[in-house]
Amino acid sequence: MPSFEYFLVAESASIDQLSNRISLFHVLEEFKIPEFPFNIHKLVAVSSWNWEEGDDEVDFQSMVSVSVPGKEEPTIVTTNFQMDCERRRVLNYFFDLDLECPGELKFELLLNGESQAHHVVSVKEIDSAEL
Amino acid sequence: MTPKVLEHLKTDEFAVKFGFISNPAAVRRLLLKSNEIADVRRALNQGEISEGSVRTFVNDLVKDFRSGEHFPHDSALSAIAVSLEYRATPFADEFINDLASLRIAELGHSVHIARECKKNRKHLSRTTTKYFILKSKPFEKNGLRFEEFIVPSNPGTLTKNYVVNDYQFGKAA
Repeated sequence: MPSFEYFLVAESASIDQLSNRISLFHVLEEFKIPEFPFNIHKLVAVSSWNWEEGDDEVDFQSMVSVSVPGKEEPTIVTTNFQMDCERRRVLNYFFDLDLECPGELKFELLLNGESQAHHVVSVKEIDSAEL
Repeated sequence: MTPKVLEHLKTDEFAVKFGFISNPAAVRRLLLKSNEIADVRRALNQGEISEGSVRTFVNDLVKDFRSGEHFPHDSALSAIAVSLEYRATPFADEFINDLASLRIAELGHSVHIARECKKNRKHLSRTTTKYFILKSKPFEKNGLRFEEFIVPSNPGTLTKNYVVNDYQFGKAA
């Protein structure tokens, strides 16, 4: 099974075609929101995995569980991949995420059903005068 | 018109430079160090030529393929494989993997060199990208009410897939 390297949620990510290097832009830590409901147009959850002995030609499934404040059930998305390389990045873009109330927006990363990491974003309500 | 850096790969002068070596790993290493490959890589990196023009060039080469005869542009195919080896793009994947998977007698070294390139591409970091549209609120579309849904989508065809996949992934109330 590949070993976990990192997991982050950011506003956007970019991979340079020339150098194959990844850049993450505006890693998310908190949202300060003057009025709910609030729609997050786009964000990206990025995970990175390292090849381990025995990983060749094996299918792996990464899952990102998104827990939205005020919503009981998390939304889970899955991505299948193979470790046909020394390092595999998985980019999951999310569009149109609605926030109804303040709290913790939690992203949990799982590999083949086992929890590997999480990234929590604080969702705070602020007075619009503070903006 | 074929770009000069690619056209040169078809010449006899280029073919004889590497044709006498039988070990594919050694040919690959020599090609990597050659000025010709450096020129193609630089041209690709600087946008002087595109992957599209490389594809057109390869398509033109393949027109000279004759069953039962040695393929005359084998060295050019080897050179293209080595030039693309470091690129983490779908075209580079397609070209190297397709060439590496061929089992035809008419091609000489190029298939084996592509296999060497494929082996070495394992060092490249690779990326899997998926897109999801999330909605936590009930949502109406095409007369159906969706309580919650996840829609995987492609970035270029967001609107199209959005509609198509509603039925596949949505939960109609």
